[in-house]
Amino acid sequence: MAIFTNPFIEVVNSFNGLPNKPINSHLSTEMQKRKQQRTVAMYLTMRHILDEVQQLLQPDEKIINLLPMTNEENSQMATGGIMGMYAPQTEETKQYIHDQTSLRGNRLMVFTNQRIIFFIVIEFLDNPKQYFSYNYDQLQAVKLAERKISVPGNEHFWQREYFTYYSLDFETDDKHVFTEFLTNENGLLFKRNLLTIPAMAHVQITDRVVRPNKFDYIFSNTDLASKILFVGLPVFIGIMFLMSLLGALFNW
Amino acid sequence: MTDEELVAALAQHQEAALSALIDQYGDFIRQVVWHYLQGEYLRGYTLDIENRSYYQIWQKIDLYDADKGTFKSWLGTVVKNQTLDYIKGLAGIKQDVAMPTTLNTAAEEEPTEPDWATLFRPLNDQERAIFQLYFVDGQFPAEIAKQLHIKPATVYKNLSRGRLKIQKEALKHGNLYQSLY
Repeated sequence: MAIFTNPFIEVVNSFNGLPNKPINSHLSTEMQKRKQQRTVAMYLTMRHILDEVQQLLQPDEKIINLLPMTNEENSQMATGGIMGMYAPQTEETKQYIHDQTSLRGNRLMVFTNQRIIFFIVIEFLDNPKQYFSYNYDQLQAVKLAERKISVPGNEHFWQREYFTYYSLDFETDDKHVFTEFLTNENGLLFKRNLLTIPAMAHVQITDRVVRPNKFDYIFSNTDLASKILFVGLPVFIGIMFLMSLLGALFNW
Repeated sequence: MTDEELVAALAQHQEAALSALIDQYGDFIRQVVWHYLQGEYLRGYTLDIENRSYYQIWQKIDLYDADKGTFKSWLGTVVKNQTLDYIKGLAGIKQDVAMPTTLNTAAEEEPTEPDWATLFRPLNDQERAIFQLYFVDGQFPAEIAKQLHIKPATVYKNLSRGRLKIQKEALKHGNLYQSLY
């Protein structure tokens, strides 16, 4: 569920035809109005964006559904902190920043019957040519691995609460690498698309990173990078420490 | 802000006018929507209908004629029409709000699950069990592997192979995917 301040997921889900009952009874009237203002502003922006997306489609291409991603719910690796900074080019984008207090956080994946169109909302708003297009026929395998994480429970800290999320990773034949963490809802939608979009039927589902060549497997692989960082590095430091200890003991 | 000022500001597409509109008429708009949305399920679409109504007001404010009635009654009519069109279903919505025809939109009734049995017909027993657990019940491959006493890699292999079988069957008969859209 989206956090209170960002209506992006709520608005995109309404485009997907999902019910979205207002559940703001815990908020004051003033807060409810502020939230509604943000939601309506986001809706107007998204209508404009979807009109632009329509222009990108081929005559026989149709949108199946939309997959929203935010900094609050998904990863912030490339859209938070320094990487999340953005200088608006147009008045509309400046207004978007003012209304939503958001920079590069909101991203959208548009599933059509032929491809995935991915863009960062603010960039696309500034320039409708700022998007990535992943044709299904250029996708051979997709890593869609489910993960679980636990946090201390609200009642007692020793009773853990479990959350599920998905790790998504793929590389297209024209060497575009896409890595992202999906929420449980995102993951279920992606899974359903893999099953129900006929052009995705040939795409293999795996639980590990697949790259067409070894160079990309080594240098464009966050899984491998984290393994090196969290396993390889401590082992290397350990060996070095042991060597120096032995050297000191035996005067090597 | 008076009604005249509000209408003038909306016509100039000032963001402050949108805030003022929600401030002054937000409750009224929700009352109109809920007057026509009977039942818990339909009220689940309140936000979407309200957003569409605000979009219509934003886009079509030039059509408001002060000589023909008050701004409030014009708003009431716009929101009422949006709500009734929404309830009537996809065709009404597309016509009235120029919704992109390729987008899915809420229907009047609660969406039903796709016809999984038809879709999974080309699969063998093991594949069907895996597909049911993975796509319908939302289980993890590791859990499925444990339950069916097979390796997780076999689950992934079956998922890929089974989807190809479904696609081949769909190409032959062309009616498998129809149950999903």
